Amino acid sequence: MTKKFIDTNLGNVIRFEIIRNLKKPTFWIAALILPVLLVGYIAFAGFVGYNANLTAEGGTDTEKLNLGLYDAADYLTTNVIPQPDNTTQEVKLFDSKEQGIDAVKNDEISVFYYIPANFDEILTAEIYAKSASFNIFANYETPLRTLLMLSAATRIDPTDLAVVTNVITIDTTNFTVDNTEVDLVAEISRMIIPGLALVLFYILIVSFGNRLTTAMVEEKENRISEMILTSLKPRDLITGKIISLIILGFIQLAILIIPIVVLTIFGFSNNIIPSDFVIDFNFWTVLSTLILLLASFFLFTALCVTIGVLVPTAKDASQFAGIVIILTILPLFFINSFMSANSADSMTYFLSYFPPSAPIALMFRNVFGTLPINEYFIGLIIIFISSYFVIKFSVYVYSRTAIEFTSRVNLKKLFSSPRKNWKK
Amino acid sequence: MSNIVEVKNFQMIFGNKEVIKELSFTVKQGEIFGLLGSNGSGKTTTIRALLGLYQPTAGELLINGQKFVPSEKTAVGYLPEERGLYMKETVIDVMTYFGHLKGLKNPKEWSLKYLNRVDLQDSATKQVGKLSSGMQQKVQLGLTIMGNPKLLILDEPTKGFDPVNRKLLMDIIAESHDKGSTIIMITHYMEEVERLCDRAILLKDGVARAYGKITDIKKEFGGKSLDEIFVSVYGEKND
Repeated sequence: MTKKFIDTNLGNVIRFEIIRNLKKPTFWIAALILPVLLVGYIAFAGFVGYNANLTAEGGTDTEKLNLGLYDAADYLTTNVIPQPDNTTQEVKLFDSKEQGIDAVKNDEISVFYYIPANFDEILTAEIYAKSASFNIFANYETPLRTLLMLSAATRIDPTDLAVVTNVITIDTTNFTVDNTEVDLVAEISRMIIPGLALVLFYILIVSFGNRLTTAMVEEKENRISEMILTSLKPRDLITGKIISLIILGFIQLAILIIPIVVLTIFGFSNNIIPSDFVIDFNFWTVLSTLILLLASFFLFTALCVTIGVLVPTAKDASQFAGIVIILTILPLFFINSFMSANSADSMTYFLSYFPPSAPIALMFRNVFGTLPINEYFIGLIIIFISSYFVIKFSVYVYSRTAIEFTSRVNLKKLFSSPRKNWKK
Repeated sequence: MSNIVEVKNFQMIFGNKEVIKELSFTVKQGEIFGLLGSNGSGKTTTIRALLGLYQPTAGELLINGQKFVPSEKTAVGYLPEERGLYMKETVIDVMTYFGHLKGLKNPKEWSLKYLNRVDLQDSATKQVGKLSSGMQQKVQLGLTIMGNPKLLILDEPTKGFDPVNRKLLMDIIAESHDKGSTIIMITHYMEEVERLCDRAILLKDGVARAYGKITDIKKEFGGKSLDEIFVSVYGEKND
C-alpha cells in the first residue's frame, strides 16, 4: 500500500519536496535557531545561577573571615549570625568606629560594620573592608542585613512581620459558570498542552510562513510549470506540496519539541521543576489539541500556497503573505474575549468561525477552557471544509494560470472564462 | 495511420484579440509534423491548449481521442519554448524526479546513461543553475524524451545550440522517432522541416495558410522551397 502510494505522482511530489527541503541549509537554520537559542538561554541561566550559588556560598564563607561591629545606635539585639549549616558566627564588637576601621586597616578583621547613632533617621549603615572588588562589598552586606533583620524581628508582632514580609498564604477558590469549584492546579496543568500547541503554531507561522507562500512560486519563476504539468496533474502538484510542507513543518516542531521534552525531564529529575508541577496528559486533551494544531496548520498552509498560486514571483508572494499572517494572528488582539465562557461575544464567535482567524481563536479558547465540545467540532469542521475549498480553488486557478509567468492572476478574467472545470 | 492529435475548430481569444481562428488539423501516429509560423502566429498557444495549459475559447483539442490529462497512458514529452528547471537542485535529482513522474522503473540509471550520451556525465551532481544554458537545454531534452513518450512536442528544440550539439539533438530526436514516437516540431529552421517532417502546417495570424504533406505544400506553392513559401506567406502582409 505504502509502496503503491510512493509510486503515484502525489507520492513522488511529496518525496521530492521533503528531500530537497531537508537538504537546504535554510531549513535547518530555521528549524534549529529556536532550540539553539533555548538551549543557549538555559545554559546561560544555568551559568548565572551557578555563579550566584558560588557567590551565595562565598557569602556563607564569611564565618572564615573575621567580622567586626560597632552599633552606635544600640539597635541590634544580637551579634550572632546563624549559618545555613545550623552553626553560628559571632561578630567581634568594637567600642568606636575608628577602632573598627583601624582593625580593618591592620588586617585584624576583614570587614567592619558600623551602625551610626542616628540610624533610625538616616536608615543607613556602613561597611568597611579591605578589598579591591566592589563585588566583595556586596557579599559582605548579607551578614549585616541578617543581624538587622533578626533584631527588627524581635521588636515586631510575628503576624505583622509575616504580613510585612509577604510570607502569608492566600487560598483562592474559583467557581466555574455552573458553580463547580475550579481546581486551579489542575486547570493550569490542563492548560500546558493546549498552550504549548498555541506557541508551536505561532512559531510555525513565523518561521514557515514565507516558505509556504513561495513554495508554489518556484515552478512559475523558473518556468518549470509548463513542462511539469504534462507529467503531473495540478492537483497532485499542489496537494503534494501542501502535504510535504505540513510534514516539514512538523519535522521543525519535532526538532523544537525534543529539547523541550528533554529539558522538562531533566528539570523534573533534578528537582529544578517542582515535583507538584503536573502536566495533564489526559488523552482527550492531547488528542483534541493535536487535531486542532494539525487542522490549523493545514488551513494556514493551504492559504499560503494559494497566495503563491496567484502571484508570479517570490517577492509578490512575500508581500501577500503578510495579509494571511495578519488575518491568522488577528485573535491575538482580542485575547480577553476568549477568557470567559459565559461572556462569549459576537467578536469571539466571528474570530472562531472566520476561517483564517479560526485556528488561533479556537486554540486560545482551548487554552482557557472556554471552548465547549460542540464549538470545538464546529470550528474543526469549518477549518477542514475551508482548507478543502481553498485547495480546490488553488488547483482550479493553477491549472489555468500555471504559465502566467510575469503577471498576477486576474480573478475577474479567470472566472469570466467560458469554461470552468472544477473537477480537474 | 490513425490520428494521435486532432484539433477541431479551435478558436482562442485573449481579451479582445482572436489569436486562433477556427483552426483544424490532425497529426498522424508515427509521423514528424512541423508546426510552422512566425512569432505570434499562434503555434505555442495551440500546443498549450492541446496540453490543457490554456482553455480554448471554442473547439476541441484531443490527444488519442481525449482531452489531455497527464498520465502514463497518454505519455507526452514536451519541450516548451520557455525553458526552465529547478535551478537549486542537482541535475541527477531533477532528472530522477521527472523520471519518477513519468513512471520510469529506474530513472537514475536512465538519467546517468543519457547524461553520458550528451557528454554531461561530470555534471550529474552539479546544481542545474550552475550549468550553461546549452547544458541546461540538453538536460531539458532528456526530461522530454525520457520514458519514450508516444508523442513528443518540441518547441524550437535547437534554439541556441551550436552545430555540433544541434546534430546531437537531431540524432536523439531521430532515435525517439525510430522507437515509435510521433513528433510535433515547432521550428524556424525550414531546412530541418524539409529534411525531417512528413507533414506540416503553416500558421499566420491564427489561420492555417498551408497544411499537408511537405511535397503537396511545395506543389501548392509552385514548387518553391519551404523557406520561399514562408517568406511569400508572411510577405503578403506588406503587399
